[in-house]
Formats: sequence, C-alpha cells, structure tokens
Amino acid sequence: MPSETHATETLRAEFEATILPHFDGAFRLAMWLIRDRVEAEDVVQETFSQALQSFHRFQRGSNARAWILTIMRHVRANRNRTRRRSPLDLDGEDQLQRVPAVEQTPQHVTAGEILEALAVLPAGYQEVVLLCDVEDLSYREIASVMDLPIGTVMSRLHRARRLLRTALAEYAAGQGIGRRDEDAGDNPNAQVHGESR
Amino acid sequence: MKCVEFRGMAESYQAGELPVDTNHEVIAHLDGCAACRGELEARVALRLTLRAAFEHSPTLAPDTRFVADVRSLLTGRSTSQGRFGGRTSWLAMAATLILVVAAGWALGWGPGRPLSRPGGGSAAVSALAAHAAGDHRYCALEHALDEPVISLEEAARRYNPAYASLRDVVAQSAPVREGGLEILGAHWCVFKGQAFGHVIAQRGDHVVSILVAPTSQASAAGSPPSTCQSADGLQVACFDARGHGVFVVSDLAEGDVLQLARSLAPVLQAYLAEA
Repeated sequence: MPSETHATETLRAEFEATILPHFDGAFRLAMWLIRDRVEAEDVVQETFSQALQSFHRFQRGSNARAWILTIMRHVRANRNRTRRRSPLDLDGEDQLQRVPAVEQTPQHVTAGEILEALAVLPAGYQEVVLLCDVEDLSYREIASVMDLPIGTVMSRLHRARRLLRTALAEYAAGQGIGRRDEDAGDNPNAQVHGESR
Repeated sequence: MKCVEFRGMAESYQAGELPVDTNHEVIAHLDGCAACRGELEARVALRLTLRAAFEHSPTLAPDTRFVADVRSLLTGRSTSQGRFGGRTSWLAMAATLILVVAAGWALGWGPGRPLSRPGGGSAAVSALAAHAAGDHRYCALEHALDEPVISLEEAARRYNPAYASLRDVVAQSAPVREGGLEILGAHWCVFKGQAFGHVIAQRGDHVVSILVAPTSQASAAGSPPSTCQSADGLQVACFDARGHGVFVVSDLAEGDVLQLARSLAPVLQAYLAEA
C-alpha cells in the first residue's frame, strides 16, 4: 500500500538521520570494551539491527546515542549469557581499595598515556568514564544505559577519576602503571598513541 | 566553600549536574581560588584529551572490511565471502544508510559540491575537507565550537610537534609578506572530533582559515593544491604535506582560494616535511 510504503520510508529516513550518525561512536565503544574486532562487529551489527526493528519505539526528542548504547549493552549481555561467559566485571572494588588517593589531576597528559591508564581500570569503571567523557551522556542517561542507580554512577565516576589520576601520576613519575607492561601484549587499546600515531 | 568541598563536587560541576545554588557557590569559589581553577582546567583538559584520543584512534575505528562487506551487500557482489553471508535485508538498508550518512559526514552539513580532481589532496585529505569547512565556519566565523581551543604550543607538547611553528611559517609565506594576507590568530581546535592546527587570517573583508591535520595516508612528497570542496559559499583548497593535510578555507572566489593555497603550499610543505 502506498501509504504504508511511505510510512516505512519516512521511518527509515528518520532512522538514518537519528541513529546511524552514532554508528562510528558505538563501534569504537564496543571495540574498546570487547577488545575483539570480530565480536565487536557482530555486536554492533546486531545492535543496529535491533535498533531498526524497534525504532518505532524510540522516543522522539530523547537522546538517540543513549538509546543505541542501551541496546548495545543488552546485546553484549545477551551474547555473554548465550556463550556462558563470565559476567562483565562491573565492580573491581577490591582493586580500588588498594589504590592510594591522588587528589591533583596531572597536566600535559598525552592521548596514549590516558588510554593506557584507562585500560587498567575495571571494565565497569572504564565504561562509565567513556559514557560520560566521550559519549557525553548525563548521569541519568548513564544510569539508564548501564542499568544502575544514579548514585552508583556518581560514585563509580568518582572512583574511576581517582584511579585515573593515580595511574597517570605514577606514569608521570616514571614508575609505570600497575600491570601495564604485561597487559600491553593482548590489549588492543595499548596500541593507541595519541594524535601523532 | 573550601577547596576540599570543591574537589568533592568538581565531578558534578563539570558534568553540569549541580543544583543552581551550589553551582553559584562553586563559581564564586573558583573566582577566588587559582588552585581550584587550575584543577578544573586540568580536569577539562584530561576529558578533552580522552575524547580526542578515543575518537581519533585508528585501532578503534570500524574496519574497512566491515564497511566493504556492508557495501558488497548493497551492490550484490561477493556476499559469499562476506562475513554477513545471507543476512537479512536490514543490512542492505543499513549499508545504504551508512553510505548515505558517511557521504553526509564527508559533505558536512547541508548541500555541498564535493570535487574530485587530479592532483590536490589524497583521498584521506579530501575526506577531511568538510570538517575543515565546518571548523572554519564554527570556529573562525561563528566562534561556536563545542570544545575549547588550546594554543598551538600546548598542542605541540601534547599531540604533534608540527603545530609549534605553524603560525610563524604562515607568517613567512609570500601572501603575508606581500601584504595580501593578515594573520588574526592561531590555535588548536576540534570540530566534530577532528583536530586542526588553525591559523586564522584575513584578506580584505574575507576571513581565511589555514588548517592542518595529521593523516597517516597523506603522500610523502606532498601534492599540488586543488579545490576539494565547494559548499555553502565556502571554498576549500587542499594539499598533502608529508603526513598532514592542509586546507585553505574561505568565502573568497574559488580561484582566489586556490591561488592562496598555491602560495602557501611551498613553505608549509617544506615545514611539515621537516616537522
């Protein structure tokens, strides 16, 4: 029917304009968190497939980036369950207890340094920092994406910052960052080195 | 408000999540406390560095194979070897949309006329032309960039030594020495995730941007300038310069912009070859 076809085309055009601009960002986040290109591609593909199928439920005027990232997190969780992988490490509280507080944010940090420092944080802390700093989501949106209470988002951000400051301070002092050297071999993120790469 | 209190809520302040009254208290404290202003600036810089690193990382970028598979589904070729196999029609549609959006990104906002001509910038450089035009508009003309700018010296320390003398090099070029181009300022800025060393100049009543961005695919030897985009009344001439793309953007006539780029190319290509 012409009207139905027209409606579908309108919806697709809206999907194109609203959702697909977040393709690159979603892929980068998936690539960082999953650290496996093939799996990241599958996750992003499945995410956008589901987004297209459920786009009629997308609330106009809400944050499309938060919406697609919420779907992507569900896709990741489902794939983890299906493959009987261990659940995502979203806590890392034990690790945090051992980290001394560094109150001052270091200056003149390079892109490579900050990515290496980020890579040694527990996965859930990396994700909350990326959703805040890179994806520019509000606390409420992060809470929705990660299915966490907003207070947990705030405390996790606070602790993640402290971890980052500590890692970067140690880096600046030439003492290395935790297990950075051992991790570099299988950590794709450690290959990233700032703008001059 | 004490410094320790500020540090406790700096995260929320930076995120714009504080109540209005508390926000005013923070601002009042920052007005009188250089140490906390410095801490806040360091936090903002760290956030911007992380964002830029993440958005520019080639390691995290979608693989060309991934895009090629989608494109092959769109064109109906080599699907048997594609990792998507016979996946459902959404992918073909998505491929269309991705390509459309990619083209939209390449063109920037609104209608434009991408040009592909012999010579000029490599494909990697030409692909940044829309970003260069956007940076010129939103940085040089409208001062409306989302991200704060930093000095070229700071950018040279943080990211790329080539930025250090960019302004001086442009100042040594023939158009400036001969009085046909006046430098208004220079800095490092980011438009839609793309960073540029940016020299802002003026010819008559026309603002001219000279923008430099690193690209791993630029030709080693450099290339003669050519017009690589014409959109929204802005002309973009571009050329390669050993690992960098250089863009000259203005609302001058296409021929004038191209001539300006040709005048700037020798000094910039020589400088970037050594940087």
